[in-house]
Amino acid sequence: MASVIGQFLRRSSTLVRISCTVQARVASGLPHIQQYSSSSSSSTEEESMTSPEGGARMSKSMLAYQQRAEAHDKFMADQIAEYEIGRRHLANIMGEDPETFTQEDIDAAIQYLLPSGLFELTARPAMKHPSDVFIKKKAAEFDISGRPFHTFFYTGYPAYYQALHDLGKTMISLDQFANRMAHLKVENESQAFNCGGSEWVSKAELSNKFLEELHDKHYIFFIQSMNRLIEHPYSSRAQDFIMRFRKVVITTQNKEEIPKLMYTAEGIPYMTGSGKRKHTEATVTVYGRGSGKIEINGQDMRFFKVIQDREQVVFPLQFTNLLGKVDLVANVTGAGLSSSAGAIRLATALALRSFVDEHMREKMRLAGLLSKDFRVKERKKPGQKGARAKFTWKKR
Amino acid sequence: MMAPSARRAVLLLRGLAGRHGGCGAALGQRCVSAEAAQAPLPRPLAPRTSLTSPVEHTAEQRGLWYTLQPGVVQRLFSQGGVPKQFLTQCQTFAETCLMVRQPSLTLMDFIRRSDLSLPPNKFLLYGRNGCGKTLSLVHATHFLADTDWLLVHVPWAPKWRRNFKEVAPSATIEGQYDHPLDAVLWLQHFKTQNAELLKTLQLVTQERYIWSRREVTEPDTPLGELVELGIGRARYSTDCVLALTSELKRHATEGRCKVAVVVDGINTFYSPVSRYRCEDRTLLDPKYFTLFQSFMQLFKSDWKNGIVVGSIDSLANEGWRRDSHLPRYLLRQQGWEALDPFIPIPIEDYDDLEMRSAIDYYLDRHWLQNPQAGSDIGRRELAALSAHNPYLLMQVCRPL
Repeated sequence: MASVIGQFLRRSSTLVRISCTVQARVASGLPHIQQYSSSSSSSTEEESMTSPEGGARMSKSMLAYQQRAEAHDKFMADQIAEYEIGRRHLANIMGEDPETFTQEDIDAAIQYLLPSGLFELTARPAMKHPSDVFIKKKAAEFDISGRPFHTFFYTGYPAYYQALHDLGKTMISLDQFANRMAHLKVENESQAFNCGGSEWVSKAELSNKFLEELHDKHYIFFIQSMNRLIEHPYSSRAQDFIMRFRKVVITTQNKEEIPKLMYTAEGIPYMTGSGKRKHTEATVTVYGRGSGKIEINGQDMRFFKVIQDREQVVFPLQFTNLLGKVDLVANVTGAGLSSSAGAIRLATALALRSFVDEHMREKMRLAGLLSKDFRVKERKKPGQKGARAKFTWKKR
Repeated sequence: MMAPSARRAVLLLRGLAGRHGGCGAALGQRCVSAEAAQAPLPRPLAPRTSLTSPVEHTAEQRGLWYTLQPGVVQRLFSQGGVPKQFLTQCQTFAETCLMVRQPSLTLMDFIRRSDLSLPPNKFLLYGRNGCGKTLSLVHATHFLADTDWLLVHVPWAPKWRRNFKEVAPSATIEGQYDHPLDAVLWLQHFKTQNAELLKTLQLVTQERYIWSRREVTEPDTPLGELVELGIGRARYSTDCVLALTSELKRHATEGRCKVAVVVDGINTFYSPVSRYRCEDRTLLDPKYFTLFQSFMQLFKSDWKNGIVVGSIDSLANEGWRRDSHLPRYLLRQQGWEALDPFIPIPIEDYDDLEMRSAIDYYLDRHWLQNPQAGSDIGRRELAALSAHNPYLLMQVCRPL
């Protein structure tokens, strides 16, 4: 039966879809979208049924297509085998157990064995799984006769429109559920999908998922439709479907450990902090139960001649209202008075964190006291007078 | 009778409360309770003392501000002695006020208790820049003037070494050099300071001074005339100064007067270099200045009824010899041997009481405009930014 219909189709140049053929094909167990490796088994079956006439024209391109698919499959298999061998070798080199050598371990090993100072991270040596390295291609979209597997093939974006259709179906089923609940007068609390902790995949990620190059309008429409789904009161029932298109975002920030106050032999609480600014480093020890003494490299505040530098040193104490209540002992190395002042300010603020409560720490963070000033002198570029200044421009 | 510290506290609090019974309205401010949180802090009155003569100052007046009468400043410090920036500030404030501080009180106490029948005591103030050495000397000079001491006052000694008007080789003494114009100015200063005393004491010369073939000063000439001669004839002014100081030394030893030598920047006398270039292009050693020698003879311990009060200032030295503020370093071997033994009096930065008093004075004079200047946090900020140093406090408060 299948062979007769197949011959019929091959003879006609138009690709005509008959429901029985679909059923026949489903009956024969041919999957719609499949990997290259599994499609080869069905294609050999079909190949044997090619007739030399009209079918020969189609089968040549089909053959080429199939060959390409097979070649790619083989190539990927080889690459994966090589990768696996390489992974085991690398594990042996590093003295680790090959069985439990994960991708993170591989990355660490490569960074250790082949250290690189290149700024472009993608240019550094790396060993990744071939599926991450080589571009994914879509599996066979049509069979040897040229008949596409997917119903929506001729839209140009079958996977995309399939997703939209699934969305529609989900929407309908949720509405039906809602109607049933209303009819039974069951009052549930809102079962809407919780958007917290996740966000929509980007256009690029969606394109990768579908293996189709989507336009902006496709993406926008898709997201708008999904948003409508989420707004449905019972959308949590469709959580699995929705989460296919959302990625989890880690919202919890890393809580930095604030070191506890240390105590001297006399029982005076103290804390050290270190800070950097440009090429100056400062180490500051803040002693509690003090009288406001400030010592910098053995000298008092007269170490700084300029009032601005003194104000920088005093600012964290002023902000936390600890001026005159704690003593400060600072050691600063490196040239530059203004950068010394900035380094001392950062070090003092970091040390003061242990003396103040959570609320004040948050205020300090918002005031910018706890952030390192990462500005450094910009490099001079060739062909220019300085970092940004250009040579005098002469019209002629 | 209250303890001095309690009395001091009461005076300060009285200043805070206001002389008119503690009501803010009397100070010209609105007493609106609803806006009390936003209203500026009540302006404190400067903690003052009404005792205008340092003779009456005791430990009870420590931290209080006393007013110098305008006549005093003109008479005693017409040619310097008070720092210029401080003078400008006094003009702005329309008054000349000084804080009574412990080193001055110690110094005045030492002066009172000095045994004048012994060689002169040498009290040398020392301290870091901006701590108040010169102003302590001003206080002491005022005290000496009020207690009938004959003042031999050098306002700023380095001026004759690095900033002189003119130096000329001496006509009378071989190998030495004169300061014609500077000596004239100093003689005028001496005359202004000691006008009254010279009239009352009626001191006369005891030697004969031959200035030229026609100009001779006979013995038993009043010293005032000698001074006038020096002022009139610039050519002989330096030798006049030498004569004057020698005469005063002799008179003091013989008990006719008590002479106080006040020198700001005494360590400059022992510096090896001055600004004057000799004919052979070398810089002259200031020990050849006759003017210097006139005063250095008073630093010796061979006379009586005298006192030497000086300040050892790092700014009086050359630029490369200012690393430390301590006397031995600044005086060098030469100066140490010449002045030793002396009584060093250290001048420190402001302590808490003095800092509070200083800020109250600025607030009283409406110098600090920021409403938070008088608050607790404001005071602490000023103290920290100025490192408790009086001069730096003045600098910090300038733009406020």
